[in-house]
Amino acid sequence: MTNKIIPAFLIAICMLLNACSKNETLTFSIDAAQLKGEGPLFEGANTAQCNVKDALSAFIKEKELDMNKIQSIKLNSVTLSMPDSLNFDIYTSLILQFASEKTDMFKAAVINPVPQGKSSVTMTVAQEQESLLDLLKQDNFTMVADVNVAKDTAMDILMNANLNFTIDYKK
Amino acid sequence: MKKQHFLTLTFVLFITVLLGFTGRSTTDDGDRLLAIWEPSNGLSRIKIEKIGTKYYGRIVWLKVPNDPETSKPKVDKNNPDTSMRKAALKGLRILKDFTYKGKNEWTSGTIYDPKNGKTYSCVITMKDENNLDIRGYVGIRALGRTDTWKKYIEK
Repeated sequence: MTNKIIPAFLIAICMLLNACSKNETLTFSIDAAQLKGEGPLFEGANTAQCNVKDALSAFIKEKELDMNKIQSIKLNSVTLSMPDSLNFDIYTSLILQFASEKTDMFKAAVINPVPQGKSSVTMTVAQEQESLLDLLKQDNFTMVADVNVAKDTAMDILMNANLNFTIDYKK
Repeated sequence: MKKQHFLTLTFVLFITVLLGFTGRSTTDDGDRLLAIWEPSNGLSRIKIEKIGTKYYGRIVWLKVPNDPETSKPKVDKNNPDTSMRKAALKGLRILKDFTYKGKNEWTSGTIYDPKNGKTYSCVITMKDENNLDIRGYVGIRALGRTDTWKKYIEK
């Protein structure tokens, strides 16, 4: 009888420990990051940038979480929108990347071709995101948008980026 | 006493100026890379820019901008991440994360070859103000290939 009770008890303990250590999925976003590139723009490749400060650390602090308990982070969606009533007609393609001093540049999302007549577009997100967590742990990073422009223009590049992430967090 | 104080101040000022000069010189030296460069095959031009303290290069011109198979602008069709294969080749960053180490050398970066979708460790050496040696390698520098890029000057 005792021989059966002890393994059952051990299994119950293991199941309890496993339940306690389950991970939690959290959502986190970077909203309205303003990408800017100074004009005039010439036909072809141009760049816009935006510095993002303390995005993840502010979220961690607000939710009273522990940065070290983040198991992984995934970029799920990137939406770009134009200010006022402008649209994306002047752009033919876009690549969004993140750069920081201590990590390698990370290619986050792409859109090619850019749909015409739209004031908001959704990009295709990279499947390979191994270096994303290290990058977001930095105090700040630079969002870099490499855009192809259809024709010369005196305008600046100005667009807002909204990014949504999920965090795999160890309870 | 006054003389000693004056000498100390002069020494501190000298060291400050010297350090400031050295720091600025190193930064400016690194920025000599900021230009448009043309690989030896003449098929593309790469603009090197600085983001933060690191240097990055992107394709700004292609001799043959359209893919002969599709007649559409070339895309990064060999990228190992299939989701990124529709990225336009024009505008693609192929040089990433270089830092200036002094002595005409930029290291710790990578070069991406769109022809095979592979990324290599890379070191850039400035031979003279108009020529760069770009050495891509796997593991150790000895196992690599060097190409000389010329500075592109618009005529």
